[in-house]
Amino acid sequence: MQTRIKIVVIICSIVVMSMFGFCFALVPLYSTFCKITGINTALRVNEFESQMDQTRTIRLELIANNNANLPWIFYPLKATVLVHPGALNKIIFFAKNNSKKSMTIQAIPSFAPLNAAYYFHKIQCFCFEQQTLKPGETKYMPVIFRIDSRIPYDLSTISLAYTLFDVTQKVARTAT
Amino acid sequence: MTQNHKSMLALISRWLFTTNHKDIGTLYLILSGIMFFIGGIMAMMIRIQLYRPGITFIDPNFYNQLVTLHGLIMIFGAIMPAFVGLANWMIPLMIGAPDMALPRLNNWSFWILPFAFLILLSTLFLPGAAPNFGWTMYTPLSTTYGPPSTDFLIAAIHLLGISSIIGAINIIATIINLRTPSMTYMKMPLFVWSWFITAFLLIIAMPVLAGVVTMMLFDRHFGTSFFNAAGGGDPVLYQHLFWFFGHPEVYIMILPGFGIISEIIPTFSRKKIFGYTFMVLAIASIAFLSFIVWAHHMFTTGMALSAQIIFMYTTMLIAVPTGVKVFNWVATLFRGAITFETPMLFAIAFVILFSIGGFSGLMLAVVPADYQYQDTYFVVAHFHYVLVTGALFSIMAAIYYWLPKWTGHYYNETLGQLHFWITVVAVNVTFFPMHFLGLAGMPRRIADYPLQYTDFNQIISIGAFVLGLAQIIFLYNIIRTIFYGKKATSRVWEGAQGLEWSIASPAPYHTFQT
Repeated sequence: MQTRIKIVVIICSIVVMSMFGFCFALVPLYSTFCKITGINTALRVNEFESQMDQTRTIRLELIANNNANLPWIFYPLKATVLVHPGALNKIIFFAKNNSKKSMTIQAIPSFAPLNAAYYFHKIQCFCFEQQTLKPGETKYMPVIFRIDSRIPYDLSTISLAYTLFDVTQKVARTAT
Repeated sequence: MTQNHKSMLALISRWLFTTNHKDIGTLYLILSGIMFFIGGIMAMMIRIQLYRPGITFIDPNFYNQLVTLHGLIMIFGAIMPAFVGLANWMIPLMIGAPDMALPRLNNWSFWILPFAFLILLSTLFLPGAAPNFGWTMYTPLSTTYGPPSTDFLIAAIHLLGISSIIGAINIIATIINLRTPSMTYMKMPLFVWSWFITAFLLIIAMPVLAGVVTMMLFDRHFGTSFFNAAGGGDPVLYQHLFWFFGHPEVYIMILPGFGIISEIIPTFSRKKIFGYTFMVLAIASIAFLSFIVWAHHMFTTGMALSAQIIFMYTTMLIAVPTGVKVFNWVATLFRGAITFETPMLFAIAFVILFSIGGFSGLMLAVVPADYQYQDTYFVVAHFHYVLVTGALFSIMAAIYYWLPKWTGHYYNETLGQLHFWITVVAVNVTFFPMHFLGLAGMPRRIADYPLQYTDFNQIISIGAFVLGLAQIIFLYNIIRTIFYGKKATSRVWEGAQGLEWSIASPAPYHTFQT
């Protein structure tokens, strides 16, 4: 092979290898980029307006999901609650580990509409930490929250869904 | 061993071990033709299913498999190998090189392909479903819910990627090193320029596809969670990575077509191409822009508004260099001594119909409009206009244009024109009503639809059947030309310019030997 051709082949091969590596590097790069620029993170409003507004009532619909056939029973005690903006509220979810082994879960919240998250201020939530239940064990898990009284008028109904993810293996791995 | 056996073996080993760029170009084109008809049969089955509402012909799961494989086969099996085949045949002839720079690798990069497609198509006949999640292979459909055959798909994609990358390196090495001494970069024919830039897109984009399907494989079998939310991953990350490959990929499928059209229009207008430098710059800037627009495929994934706006603007920016190209083609036609042979007819149809595809692309680029069009038949109409009347028409134009040089015979002009007119009418009957269906809200990738969409779907199906049948004329005309037909002169076309027309027709097995 001519030297000049060899050089082209070597340079191109380096490009190919580095692009293959770059694809894997993008996994952490994307999250770093989003963190730095603040894109796609539901940043909370810093100051919080907690003046109670009894003239308004917001309908909060609670949804409980299990990810990927998680053998847990999980539901809210009340599927719908009516709350005033600014008032302190408490809702309770019930969870039971129906499997034959001790399991750890992490709950991930999701709001619909998405921008409701900006006005939803959680003081205590079972989603703040992982929950471990022994086989057959049950637990009542509370969420204490306020809704910002500056919440726009078009947000009269909010759906809040929690999905339970099984993190037992992940916890075991980091522990060892 | 009888004489027959010996000659049979000689024939097989000639094609199996060939390092001649013309042989390999022919092999690529034959493979592409086979894949085009296989993908076409799948399209016909899809259109039979959609002729009437209701599950009339095939069950929905098999329908999904057909949609997936139709996409993969047409993209990786028909369009890309056809362009690589044309590159193999024409680039050495156009730049006065005796062969490609790396002939052995060239042989390898072709012979990987039949095996890759064997693996891919075997999924249809294995127990369980073939890949059924669309050619975009979105997670978790392809990871958590993917059928076992997804692993075959991943293997096939890896092989296709290796083949494309080797082919691209070969083209770059050839163009940089083997040009005839007097041919500077800015004297290269536009087809060579377009392939030079496409080859760079290939070596940058294909490894990303290889990486992303590798992650998919890891998620499926090795317990990683790149795309699995339960393990801290993100399914949307898959879309980001896939489209970072995917958008350059769609330009890989159109830039060589731009090059072909830029060869054909000057020949039949008997004029030089208008604004050569701008044509080169336009290709280069389209190639650059292709890397910063990927998120327009995923406006509805809940991206930040600022990101949506940035991607909308970069996407709309692509219209500028593309517009430059269209204007320059039209300016080349202006006051030319135009004749309408079949390649020219396809080239003019390309300019008009590809522009329609470009306009619907602009409509899709507008974020608020895209929320409405996302995942409807409008998108199907858009990408079929750019891929069928764009990429495929340019390939057909190229085949008619260079066939006399390859075979030494003129094709039958009457049959060629017949093929063109049936195709150009049928293609519009097939794909234009899809715009209306999409605007009316018919989603993509459904095996059944509500009654109100029936009329347009029947028109589309009829157009599709005619379009499919018309390609038999094309196939017959090509095969006929190989054996019969008027002897072609070495110049072939009266207005043809360039080195490839200075050698005899058919092109001798060895050319520009030093």
